[in-house]
Amino acid sequence: MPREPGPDESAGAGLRPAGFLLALPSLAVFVGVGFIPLALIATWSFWSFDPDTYWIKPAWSFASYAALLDNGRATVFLRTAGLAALTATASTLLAVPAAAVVGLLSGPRRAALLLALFTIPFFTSGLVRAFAWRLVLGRQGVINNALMSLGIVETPVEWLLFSDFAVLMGMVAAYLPFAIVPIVLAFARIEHSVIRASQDLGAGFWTVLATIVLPLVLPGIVAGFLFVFVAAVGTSMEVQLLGGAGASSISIMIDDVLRVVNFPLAFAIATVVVTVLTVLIIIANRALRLSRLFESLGI
Amino acid sequence: MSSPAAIALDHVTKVYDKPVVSDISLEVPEGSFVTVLGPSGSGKSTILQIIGGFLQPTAGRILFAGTDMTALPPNKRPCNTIFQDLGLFPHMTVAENVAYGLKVRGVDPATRRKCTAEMLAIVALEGYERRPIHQLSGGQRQRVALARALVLDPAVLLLDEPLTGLDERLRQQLRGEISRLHRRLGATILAVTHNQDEALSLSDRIIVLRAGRIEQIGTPREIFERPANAFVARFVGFDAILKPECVDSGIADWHARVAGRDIRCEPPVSRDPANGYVLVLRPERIRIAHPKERSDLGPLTVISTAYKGRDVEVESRLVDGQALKFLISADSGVAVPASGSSIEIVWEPIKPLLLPDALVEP
Ligand SMILES: Nc1ncnc2c1ncn2[C@@H]1O[C@H](COP(=O)(O)OP(=O)(O)OP(=O)(O)O)[C@@H](O)[C@H]1O
Ligand SMILES: [Mg+2]
Repeated sequence: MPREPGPDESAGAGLRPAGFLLALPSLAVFVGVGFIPLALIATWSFWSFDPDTYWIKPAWSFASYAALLDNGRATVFLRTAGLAALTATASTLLAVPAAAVVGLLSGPRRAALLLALFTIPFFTSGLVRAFAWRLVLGRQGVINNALMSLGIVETPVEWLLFSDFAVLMGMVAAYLPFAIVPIVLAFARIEHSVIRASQDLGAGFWTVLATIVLPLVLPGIVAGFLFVFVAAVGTSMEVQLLGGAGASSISIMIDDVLRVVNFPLAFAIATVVVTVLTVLIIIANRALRLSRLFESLGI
Repeated sequence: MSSPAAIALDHVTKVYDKPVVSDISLEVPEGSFVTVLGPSGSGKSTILQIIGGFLQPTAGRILFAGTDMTALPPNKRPCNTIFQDLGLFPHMTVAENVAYGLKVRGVDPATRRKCTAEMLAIVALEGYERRPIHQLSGGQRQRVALARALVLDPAVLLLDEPLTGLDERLRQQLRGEISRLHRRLGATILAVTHNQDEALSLSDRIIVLRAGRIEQIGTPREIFERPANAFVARFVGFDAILKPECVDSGIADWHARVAGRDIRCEPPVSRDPANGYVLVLRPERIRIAHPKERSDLGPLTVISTAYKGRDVEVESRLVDGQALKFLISADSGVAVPASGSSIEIVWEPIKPLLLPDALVEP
């Protein structure tokens, strides 16, 4: 079936009055819970802390931004970003084959079922999930017990728990579905006839993969990576429960700053993070038309 | 006739939960245009996919120019298919789509550009090189698919319903284009369709398919003038079908008895069919007899009439209960009979064909 041109191509017609009215409720929600709080946080990050009231006052200053990189905060930024990137990479690498199975090999009904299975981890709270990893990775955990009873190691492997490895495990397990869903959507959008046509024109397995499947799935892979990256940047639970001594993340850092009631600094950190992530998403969307993924699927 | 056929199917069978293609053997001579004609679900697409290598037959062999290629994957076969759903690459422009096969074959960019431009000119799509696929009309897409296959200069081209879903004007235009391309490029073409007009105007040879079996192979003329049985007859427009009470062979003509009337028929080609004979006529060859005229059949009771634009379709019933539909030309000046009225009909000088009855599902 020929695909309708996406809404982004309707020649910038803008919203007609009726369309505007229809969009009003969702627009209101978007502005109310999305835009206004962000705008307030961004504004307040330029105010200064008032020691008399323990609150902020409208005296404009860049002090918070100047303090952003003090006290080893730069390391936390970098470590959080690095760990998030690692989590996103690992999740994407795992998600591609999983999504390929769901999207290509099974029919729509089984795809829906498999997709639902991937969301089962979300039935429990993140706290319980992170804690469960302690039982798996700890000194007396499942893995160490198994390794020792098999005689592979004599003393428990220490780096399994309270380490970056443990944090990575916890985060990948938690955020994998975020990567799988957009990639499944991308696979589902590939029509079988397209693959058949490329074979017919002489393409073997690897050529089909490189010239047809990969380009068509790439937006999904990038979207999946970004979803996980954004979620992982905001994480604190896995770091707190599974990370080593002194492990930190941006959220933990914001928490710490708020504890000493330095609101402008906390807001400044948040503003920087939101800005960076937004720019990332905008660039990716421009380059790969990620929004097309979420156009109606012909399933 | 010594050179082997471009495509040959040798006792090909495909079984899913039940057979959809049953023991088909056919040959497509080199340079010819052969059409497989059959109703929806008769296995046409399945046959093409087996030839293209997208489906493995349950039994039987596929030969290209005498070489058995049953086990080869699609990309190793010397044919190109244009599928019912075209499968254009959505992430490429028109030119990239057309050049794809050349690129896969490692043709250098300069030659690629030249061939692509030539082919786009042939299908009248110059100036569309950089268009993304989703900005094309249905007919333009079909032509891109055609160009994408033809640019590889395939010895064999398989077309699955190439003209279905297009409006009448585009259909004629594209039909002309395919026929010109066939003559100009000399490719062997095997097309499948359920549209008799398409088959008639394009092919050297027509294969009529029914539920995975071949009912008749012949030239368009043979199929349309001498259908092998009632199924083929109905498929090519002999919609007025009557079951006789008995049939007698004569010297020049045969005679059949329908509703007590003696009817002169063409002598049948095949004798003593298992299910007996039927009489078939083209409904547009039947007209209502004038009151003084000697009629061929009657009386019939008019059940209903329906205006069909160029014709009026009359649904009537014989005294023995058989239904008969025929057409009277709307501009012939003949009064449309009222429902419930009694009429007599004429078809002389044409004589009905006597064909094996094959209307019951096998
Ligand atoms: N994968 C499959 N599993 C089971 N049955 C199938 C499968 N594919 C096709 N069939 C059946 O095989 C028969 C022939 O299908 P095919 O697509 O070849 O028909 P067709 O002649 O091309 O029809 P159309 O004119 O509608 O395209 C149909 O009855 C169809 O239901
Ligand atoms: Mg078909």
